[in-house]
Amino acid sequence: MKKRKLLILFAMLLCLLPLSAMASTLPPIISTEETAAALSNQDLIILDIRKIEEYKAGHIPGAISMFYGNLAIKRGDSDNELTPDDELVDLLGSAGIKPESTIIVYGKTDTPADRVNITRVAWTLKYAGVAKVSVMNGGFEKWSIREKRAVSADMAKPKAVSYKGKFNKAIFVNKDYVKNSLNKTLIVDVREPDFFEGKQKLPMVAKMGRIAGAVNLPSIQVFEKYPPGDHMETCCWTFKDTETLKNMATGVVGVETNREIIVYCDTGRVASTWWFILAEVLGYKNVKLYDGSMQEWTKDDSAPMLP
Amino acid sequence: MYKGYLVDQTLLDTDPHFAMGCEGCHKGNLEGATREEAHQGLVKRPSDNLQTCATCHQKITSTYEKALHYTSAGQRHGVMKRFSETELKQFDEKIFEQSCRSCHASCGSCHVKAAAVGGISIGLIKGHKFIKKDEGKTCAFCHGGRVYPEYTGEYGGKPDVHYQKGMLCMDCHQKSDMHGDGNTYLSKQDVKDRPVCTNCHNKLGQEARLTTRTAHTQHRDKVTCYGCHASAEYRNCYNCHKESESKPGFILGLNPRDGKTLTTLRVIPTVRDTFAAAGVTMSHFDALPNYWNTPAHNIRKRTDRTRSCDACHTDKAGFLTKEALIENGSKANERLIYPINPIPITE
Amino acid sequence: MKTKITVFLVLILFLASLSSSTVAVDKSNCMTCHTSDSAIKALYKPPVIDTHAGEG
Repeated sequence: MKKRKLLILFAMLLCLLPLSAMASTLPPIISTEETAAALSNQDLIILDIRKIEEYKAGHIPGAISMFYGNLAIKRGDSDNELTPDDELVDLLGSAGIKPESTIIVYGKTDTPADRVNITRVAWTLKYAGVAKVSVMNGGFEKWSIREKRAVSADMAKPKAVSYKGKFNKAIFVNKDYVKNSLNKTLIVDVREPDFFEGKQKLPMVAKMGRIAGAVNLPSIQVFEKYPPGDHMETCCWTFKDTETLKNMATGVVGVETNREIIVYCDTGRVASTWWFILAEVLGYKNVKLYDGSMQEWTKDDSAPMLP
Repeated sequence: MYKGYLVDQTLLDTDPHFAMGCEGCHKGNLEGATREEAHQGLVKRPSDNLQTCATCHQKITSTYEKALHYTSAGQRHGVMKRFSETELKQFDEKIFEQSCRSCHASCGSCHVKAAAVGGISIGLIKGHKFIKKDEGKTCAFCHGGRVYPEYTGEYGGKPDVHYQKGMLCMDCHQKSDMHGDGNTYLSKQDVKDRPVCTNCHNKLGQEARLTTRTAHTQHRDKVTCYGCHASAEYRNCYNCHKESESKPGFILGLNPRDGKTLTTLRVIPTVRDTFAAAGVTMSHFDALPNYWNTPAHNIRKRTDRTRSCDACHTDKAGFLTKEALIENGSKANERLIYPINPIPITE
Repeated sequence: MKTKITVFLVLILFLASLSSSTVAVDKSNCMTCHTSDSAIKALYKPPVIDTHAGEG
């Protein structure tokens, strides 16, 4: 009798195993190895945000081209703004993306801009209501040049769908929202210390300085050269490990994961990196991105700045 | 950049183009021990002389001889009407061949080594392999000041929807547009079978959505596709040549070529004293306008103008006005101001 | 006589083989530099860019 009960219990446990496999989603920062293992996943859509010429010369098998420039455009005087919602719906639909799709975004990691473009696309997808978005660590160079994994050179033509995701507008804030949040919300400037301290600025920003009351958590320090170590060879750039990122973050934003945090930079692009890490990797539940950032803020003389 | 001069060694044995050795096309001095000595008598662009390639590629070189990429005839034709007979002769002698035509493409410019633009060249496209095409390394460089960056959205605008869909230059601009079709054209406007939107988008007026159907039927023959679908500002001369204050980057006006359709216009950088440095004047400068119709390569389905009729009919956004005309411009410019009216309400 | 002719022929052949290898070196003269990364890098002179000219 006891044996039978044990057998039944064992069988029940076995039945639960597939459930646990279904429940596991891809990690927000996914390695090339894990990406390779996930290629057979039916719901998976891999997005290549590099230029068309680069995509056509070789891309991860099955990846769809989603050129970065489509998703971050110039509106009026502001660079790197969100594409209008109706166009975003078109773009996602034509790539066959549904709100329940599992997405992996990858690109190059050569330049600082290349690295942050990836998280900016991830943020845009989350804004549009896609639930599961991961970014591939190390970029295409790691996949293809360093690890010599298979690439294909076809032009993937996904089956278009009508995108019906519910936009998550809460993660996007405009200038008025930030103005009303001063002294109430934690505002995080992700630019380098020199910019934060008002010692230098980029040409498209009108004035030096930061939003009054902001704290500094530079994005530049989240990436490291790969392979790590002191040598001439650099394959690519990867995110630092989660523990290091956590220590960097908690030192500035604290450990309370429910608190509201607004991240910004100069145009809203670099800020996406800390947005992604805080919201998707470290579990902060209320992180927002100020898209206009300093380019917009500095044009308004009534918007408080320091120093 | 030095890597642009490295030749792929395996080609020596596998590529028939190398059968006659480097000196077969490039001449030079095989005995030379130093760079200077070896380069004595060197021909840098052997295919400038089309006969170099004609030995095997007879048909293509005979059509290319007349093709616009080789003759640059369009550049002469475009400005001709501004000159008197004497001035035109001077232009031909002193300016056209030396300046305008120095841009012409040899066979090698597209198939072997990208031409230098502003002194910079990426060098051999693929280690001196004779490639069929590589738009990103050829078209993108010579046409990289205006068209290509518009197309990819590099000026911060939006990329053209055709780029988004993975189309590159040669998906619309076919081989015969490059190699020529045997006809001698004076300008690209005259080329038979040049890219036209309706070559692919040929079901206008049959769309499912009523608003789209109405918009297309109502504006047919009145507005070019670019008039509504050019999505953003595009480069005009004053974006780089900053002698004057930057002016509109997006201009809607009357098409100077047909005098009746509304289209996107671009300022062309010919001013009254453009050729003064060479001692050539333009006594008929006012015969031609300073704005020409431009096929802005930043097409998108949705633009401000497709979203709302008011953008044009009420706000007149982007329309050329008298105040916006360039200073001391051609008298012909005023004719391009389009008299846009509110939409008439029919009983 | 026979030995003399043989020696003479061998000498001619030897000299001929030497000269053909010299010709072979001449033929690949361009390639000596143009297939060597280090040679081209050393010889390369970056172009002087005229910053006053407008963009193309």
